[in-house]
Amino acid sequence: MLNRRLVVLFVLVFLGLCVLATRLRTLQFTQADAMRKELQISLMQRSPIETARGAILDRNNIKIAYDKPSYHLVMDYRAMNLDDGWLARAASDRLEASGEKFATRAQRSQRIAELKETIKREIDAIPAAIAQRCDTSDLDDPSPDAPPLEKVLARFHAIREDINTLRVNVWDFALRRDRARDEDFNRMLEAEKLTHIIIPHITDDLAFYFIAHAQEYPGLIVRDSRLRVYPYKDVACQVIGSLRRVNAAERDRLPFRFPNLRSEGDEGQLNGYRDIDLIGDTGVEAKKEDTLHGQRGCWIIERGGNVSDDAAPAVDEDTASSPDRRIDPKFGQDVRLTLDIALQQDIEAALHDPAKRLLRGKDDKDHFVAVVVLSMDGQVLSLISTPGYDLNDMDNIRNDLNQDEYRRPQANRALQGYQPGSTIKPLIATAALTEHLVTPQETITCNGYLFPNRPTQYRCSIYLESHATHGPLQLADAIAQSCNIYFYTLGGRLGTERLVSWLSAFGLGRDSGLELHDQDGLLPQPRQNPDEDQYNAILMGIGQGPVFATPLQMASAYATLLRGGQWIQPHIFADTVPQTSQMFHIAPEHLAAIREGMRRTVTVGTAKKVMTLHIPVAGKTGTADVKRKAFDDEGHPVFDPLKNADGTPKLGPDGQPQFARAFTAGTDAWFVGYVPADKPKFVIAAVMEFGGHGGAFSAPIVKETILQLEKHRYLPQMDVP
Amino acid sequence: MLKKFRDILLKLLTTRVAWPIVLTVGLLCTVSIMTLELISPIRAERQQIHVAVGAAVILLVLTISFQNFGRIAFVLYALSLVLLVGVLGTAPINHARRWFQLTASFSIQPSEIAKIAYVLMLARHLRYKRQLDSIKDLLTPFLLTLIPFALILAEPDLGTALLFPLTLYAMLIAAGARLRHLLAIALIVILAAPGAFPFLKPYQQQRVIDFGRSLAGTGKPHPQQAQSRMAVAAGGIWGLGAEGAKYVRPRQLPEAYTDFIFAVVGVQWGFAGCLLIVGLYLAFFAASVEIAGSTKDPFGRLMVVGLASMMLFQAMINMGMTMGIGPVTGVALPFVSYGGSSLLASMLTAGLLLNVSVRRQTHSAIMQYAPA
Repeated sequence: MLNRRLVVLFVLVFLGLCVLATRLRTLQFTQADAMRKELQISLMQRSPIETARGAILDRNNIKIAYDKPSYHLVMDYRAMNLDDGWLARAASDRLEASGEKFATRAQRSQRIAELKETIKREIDAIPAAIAQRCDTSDLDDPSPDAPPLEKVLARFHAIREDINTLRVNVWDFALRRDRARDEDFNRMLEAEKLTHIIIPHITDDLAFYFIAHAQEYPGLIVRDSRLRVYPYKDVACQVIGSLRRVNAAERDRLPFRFPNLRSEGDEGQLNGYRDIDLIGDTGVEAKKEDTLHGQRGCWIIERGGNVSDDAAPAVDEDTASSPDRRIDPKFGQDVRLTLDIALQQDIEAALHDPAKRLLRGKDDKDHFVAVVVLSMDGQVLSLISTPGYDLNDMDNIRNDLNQDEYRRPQANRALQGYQPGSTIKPLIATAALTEHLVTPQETITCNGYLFPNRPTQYRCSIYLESHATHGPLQLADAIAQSCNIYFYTLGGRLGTERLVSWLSAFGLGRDSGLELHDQDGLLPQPRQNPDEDQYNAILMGIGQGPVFATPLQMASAYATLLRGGQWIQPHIFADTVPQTSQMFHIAPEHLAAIREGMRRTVTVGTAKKVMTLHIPVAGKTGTADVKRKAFDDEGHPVFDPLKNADGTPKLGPDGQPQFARAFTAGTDAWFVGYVPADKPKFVIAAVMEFGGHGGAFSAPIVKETILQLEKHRYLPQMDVP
Repeated sequence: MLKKFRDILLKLLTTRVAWPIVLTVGLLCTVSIMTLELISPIRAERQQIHVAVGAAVILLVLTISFQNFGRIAFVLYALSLVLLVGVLGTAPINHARRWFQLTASFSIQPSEIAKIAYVLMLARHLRYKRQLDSIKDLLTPFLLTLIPFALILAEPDLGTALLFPLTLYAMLIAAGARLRHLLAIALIVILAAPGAFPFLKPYQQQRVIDFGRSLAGTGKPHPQQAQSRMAVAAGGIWGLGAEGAKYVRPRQLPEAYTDFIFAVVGVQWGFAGCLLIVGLYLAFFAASVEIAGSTKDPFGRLMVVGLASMMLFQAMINMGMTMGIGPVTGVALPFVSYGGSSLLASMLTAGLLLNVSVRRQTHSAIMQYAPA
């Protein structure tokens, strides 16, 4: 009986062991290959190989933006927070390296504990070491002139705060939405494990010092980095544009992903963005982001070596059997522009030369100007907008730039819409001549104002100044003298519908084709009210009313006119094959008359005083009446109190007087010209905001630009008379 | 003294039922050293010393009759309980209070002592089959089990604690308790077990949940367990040999040389090696059963059953954990896992088994003196 009990017991144990054996069979007979593969994959570590952003070149292959190798001083977040697991690993790594042997586990753990304390002390000493060695003048927290140590500690604090905010946000999100998004959690976890920049772009000497003394600064790492350098600083800054940290939406649109080792042939998304990446913010940097932005490479190596995110592992190329793999990074491609950076630099330098007083307007103050140099085959040689800013200093001044509503340094004024004023008159003349509404010989008499019964409206500019009149004028002289009455008349004859279609043919009110962030300008939609349309048409005859054009559009329109109606896409990227199309045909004698008018503008007309040059030039002045938001001399916005109809101050619901932005009226000074007058090679458009008379204040800028073009050998050499 | 050793050795070599025990223990120790050689040669060397010391312990234990151990069973049991209570007052190591750290290099694990003392105590108590027919008579054995079980659970050490009720059942079966009583009690405990869940430590609760999820095929299993299961499977039929070492490196499997050593066996020698280990344990148990079956003395017989069952259950729990069909508990694989104290306890067990085998009065021996 009792021995039977022993048999029962034995059978029970036997069955138990059979269960184990069955499990063994399942695992080892059917899953062996899969699990081996899985284990091998789990051994593989993937680390990124950084790439470089492509350079931006000018037409002569001069680098105007490029990546320079640089170093960041970064710190592991776990080390910063004295994370116990991190300390333990660091201590055990240090123990391995020392080769110390221990008889028992307990001795070893005691030594580990000692080492952890040592490492803690070393980490505590890091901020002081950084403060002592690094240049902290760029750190503004807590104040620009605080002692270096305080600044470094503030930096540490800021990093912790960032992570805490992220953590709070993630948990908050998870609790409110009642579900946690994995990617948010992963971002949080990643941020907690990532390294964070303490001092960006340290000098090479410092980098070498910290690499050589890595043992003394646990958790502190020198990370390879790249610094975007703009050797021409503020020259063409709005065209080149700047970089900024990628935002969440952009990152999610194309996130960086390592190759998935579990699916064969998966290449991941190495061209994607990581949180720390930079992306083009404005200008060419933004427009050509896809070309300039490179693709990271990737190490896929078996774990066990001394590999971290921050050091490229040494791979033994001889071991053919090694599963290690390297995907090479693809560097970003260069982008070449049609811009001549040296020319642009010289023009900008001349503009800012106080002796030349080129930025000075009628009120003897400096104004904002835009200049476009467009070749007759559509290449943009210069695209100038003042004021500018130093692209290298972008990180420090970004906020100031964004808040500077008055100067708006980031706006590219050459690509922004203005009332073209009288510079529109050659285009109006083209339309009227081709539509047979006027002939070059027809005379229209200027009496100072358009309608005999309304001497206070639709006046000519000279009548406004001195009650003088032009008398009877033919087309060429009407252009040269910029007679408003003549072009009011043509505008009235054309009507809004025809005007809009003609101005559109010249490229106004639509995409210029430049492929930068340029505005389209504005043309009116014909309305129901014929009277209103007619008034608009009359005003548009002199480039006022509902018409806006960018300086680039005006330059392109003049080029189109000079080519006899052939539009060539203005472009700034050297690899662009410009599109062309014949927008209209103009009779040669009509074109000759208009060109004669523009030549006379310079010789006897509205720009004769300033355009005396040894090179024959032609062009058209423009003086556009505009209203803009008012700013005082310091650039602060000006407000006017609102008034009721009876003149008392208008009060808001809270009983306080109400204010509205004040506007000031003035005239934008325009000049659009081409050179040489007989055989045009370049069209130059310049506008000065609130400058005054175009002939007086923009023509000198164009003259200076022409001299620079000549200096840079773009014009046939002529003898100076 | 020397003469006594010589006599004992002679007796051991001439006892047929002792041979399988000596052989299986020797082979298991050899496997242990060979396995450790792959992942930690230093530990393999040290384990050889442990084995030598263990062999000496066996001889030492053999010099004293198992009956004498039986006589002091109560004292040993009481002492082990005192130690178990005392260890709860020590500073925790890895969130558990399982060890008395005597010197920097030497520590005692009271639960190892309690395991043997408990079996001695229970065998002593059950040695005469006194009224085990009534369910009331099972009260004392269960109480004797519950005290060390609860104390060890409080350390906490779920794996070791579980061994006590399992061993109790094995011994009660061998002692002749009614099977339907045992089944009924087991059923009640299983049904009541969910009620104990709130009393577990958070990390234990997590492990139970994780284990449940892994059985259901959802959720993430314990990382070391996932790794060990894959390592066992990766070994295939014949194993990967030295190449397999990289899959059980400390960073992936920190406990590879102690609790998860079966994974190293699996990856190194595959199904063949694993089956050999399973076979060795079965042979060990079969030999123990034979010793028990051929021993007349009820105390010796129950002690053998208890000690052998305790060892087998521990081995099965450990292997089940490594293969991912049991919860993660911190029990070692007897004779194979690296570690001096663990091996010492196993050797002590083997010594007691051999003690019984060489000193037993067999039925046939009694028959010799029986009147014709």
